Amino acid sequence: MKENHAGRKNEKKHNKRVEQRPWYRLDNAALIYPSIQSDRITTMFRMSMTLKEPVNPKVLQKSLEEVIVKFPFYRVKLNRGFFWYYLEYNPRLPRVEKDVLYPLGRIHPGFGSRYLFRVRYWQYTIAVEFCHVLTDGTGGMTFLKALVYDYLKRLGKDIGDPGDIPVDTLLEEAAEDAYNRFYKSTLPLPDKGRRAFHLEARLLEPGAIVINTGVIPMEKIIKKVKALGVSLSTFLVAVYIDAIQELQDSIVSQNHKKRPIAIQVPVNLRSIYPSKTLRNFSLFVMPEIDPRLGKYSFDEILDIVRETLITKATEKDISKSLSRNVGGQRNWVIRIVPLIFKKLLMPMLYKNLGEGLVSGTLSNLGLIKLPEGMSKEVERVDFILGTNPINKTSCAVCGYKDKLVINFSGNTNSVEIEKLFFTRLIKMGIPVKISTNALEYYEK
Amino acid sequence: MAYCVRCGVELDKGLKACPLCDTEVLLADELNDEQEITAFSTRAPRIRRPKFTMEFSKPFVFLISFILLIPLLVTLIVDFSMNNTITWSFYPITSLILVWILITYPSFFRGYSLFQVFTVDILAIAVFLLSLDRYSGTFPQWSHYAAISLILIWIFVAAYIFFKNKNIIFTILIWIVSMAAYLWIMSLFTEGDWFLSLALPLLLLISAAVVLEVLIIKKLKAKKIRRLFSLGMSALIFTVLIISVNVIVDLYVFEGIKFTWSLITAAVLLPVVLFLLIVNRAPELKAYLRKKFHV
Repeated sequence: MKENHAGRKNEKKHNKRVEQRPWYRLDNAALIYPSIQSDRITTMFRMSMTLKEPVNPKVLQKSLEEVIVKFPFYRVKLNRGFFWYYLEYNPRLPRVEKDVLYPLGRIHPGFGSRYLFRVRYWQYTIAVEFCHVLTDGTGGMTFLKALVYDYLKRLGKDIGDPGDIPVDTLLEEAAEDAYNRFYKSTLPLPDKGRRAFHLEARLLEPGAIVINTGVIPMEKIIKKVKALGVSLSTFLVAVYIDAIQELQDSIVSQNHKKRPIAIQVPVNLRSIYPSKTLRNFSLFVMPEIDPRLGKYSFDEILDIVRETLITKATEKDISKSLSRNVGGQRNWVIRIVPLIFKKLLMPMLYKNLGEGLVSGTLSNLGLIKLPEGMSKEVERVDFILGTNPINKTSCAVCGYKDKLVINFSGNTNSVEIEKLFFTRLIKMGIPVKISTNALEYYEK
Repeated sequence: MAYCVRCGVELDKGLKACPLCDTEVLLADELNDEQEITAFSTRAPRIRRPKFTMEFSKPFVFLISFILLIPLLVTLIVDFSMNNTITWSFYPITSLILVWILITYPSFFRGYSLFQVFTVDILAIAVFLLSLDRYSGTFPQWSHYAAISLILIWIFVAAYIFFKNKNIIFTILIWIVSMAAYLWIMSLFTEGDWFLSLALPLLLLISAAVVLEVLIIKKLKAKKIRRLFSLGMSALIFTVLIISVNVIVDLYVFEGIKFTWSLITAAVLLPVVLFLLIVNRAPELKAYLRKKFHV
């Protein structure tokens, strides 16, 4: 990338008429997404902030035009090269759009001129929906914070110091592919997983998504978690596994026919490696139980999850799968295969090395911290993951102020896992407030 | 604040049933219109599909032109240096030019449509085949068949593109008429007598069967007729078609009617038709069959 940059400068001297547009290679995690993307595997995620006042779309559009300049590596469109996809400068300006009933719809890469994210507004809410090709949760949240900060500033609110929110154009270091920087070539391969249990239910029509939101008072759940002596992520993952265990027990009666239950928990690698990138930089840890060995009690699950999240989310363990992924990308044989053939291979990788090995995803963004002035204006923060036809349900968690918001998104009519998950919390004395985007429950 | 009596969760304002267990809410919080806040818009998402683009970027056309230019020049030079004139290199050169037209045509014009590109491509291929035939000796040897077939394909696709949103029967009628015209021209070329006595009646019969079948499927989709009835009618149409085909072929080949193979088919199908139609009318019989043969 650096060479490319220097070359650009030289060329500008020689020929000023040629407008050089920056381009980026996809980062290691993003490589797979354009090839597997479909109406059902949308590879999207969404973050939103609910404000105290209704959103003014005109001001929001101004803010977006201002903020996108600061994130040059998001101001891109996806293009096809001969060997790989790449991201190219997008001369158009992004537009804000009104929210829809089914968020997280696919952004078709065939639209050469389209952005890989959307900004949507609805009543009091500003939402960004990112395609995973561009970035992960950290990058998305940074962008949303910068957008809402600029928006509130434009409205003349007294929001004070931006804190860690970027207000200047971001440097090249924010656009780096950090996976490649921390790659070590000689590490052993990570263990192969086994095909996990998946919810079986009929899929809704492509594009439809059912979102069930549970809002939990933070202090109640923190009290419970502290009493158990674990972290919040550990607790939620354990509840999730326990819920899926009960679901599998109700479907499959014989133990030897049961499949492992594994939950994919994304780990933010910026806390392990020193990188400031705002593109993808996360990998997964997979706490797993094997129900063939019998029914696990909640305490046993809790122990397994705690153990896994502590021991597997370390630099040493993560570097194994990081090096496997980057090694594949650097392999000469793979590199010189034309993209059209690579595209055929990718869905297989996705199924056999990715989603097929897990029963669900639980992504915890953690406690969202906003600068003091800004947090007065923001009521609530939501985080929603897109769905895929293998796992069918996924769970996204984020905390803000005194509320913990858990969003389950699914592409089936089955809410079995959600029900088992939330009723478990109720039984532990943690109150949950439920809402949904399925309109029929409001109109009955 | 409303709670679900079964799961114990607190429910969002305005919920009339629990989204988790579908239990009805006894005393639902009513929304007052002024402060209705919902998490999502009720707007249905617009499904935007990319326009099918066949347009390669200008730099790509540039690249491909040069890649094609090299074999073109090489064949030309080799042929010329050996024979002092163009002989066999005519074939690779016209092929390369055809490939070039197919790839670059959409990039020349702005605002092309799929139909335009298709038309130009069909035309280019037809001209290419005619030129090959012309160059290889006596002129209309084979290429006129190919050219007319290409035109038939063009009419099929064009009819579909133009009338796909209108009545499907109309599209099918255009297909039938063009097919008849195609067969007629073919019979003129081959100087055969088969058009009026064999091809046309067969075509009309098959078309009638197809149209009837489409009507049945339409009715079935609109749930105006039952599945068993439509199945029976389809089998009946098929039987009639088989017998008529037999008659027409017999008249053409033997100049007389000899029922042979079609009667066997009819003997299999007609009882089935009868059975289906009777079962369709008799709910008790239907229930019995469903019970005995449920899978």
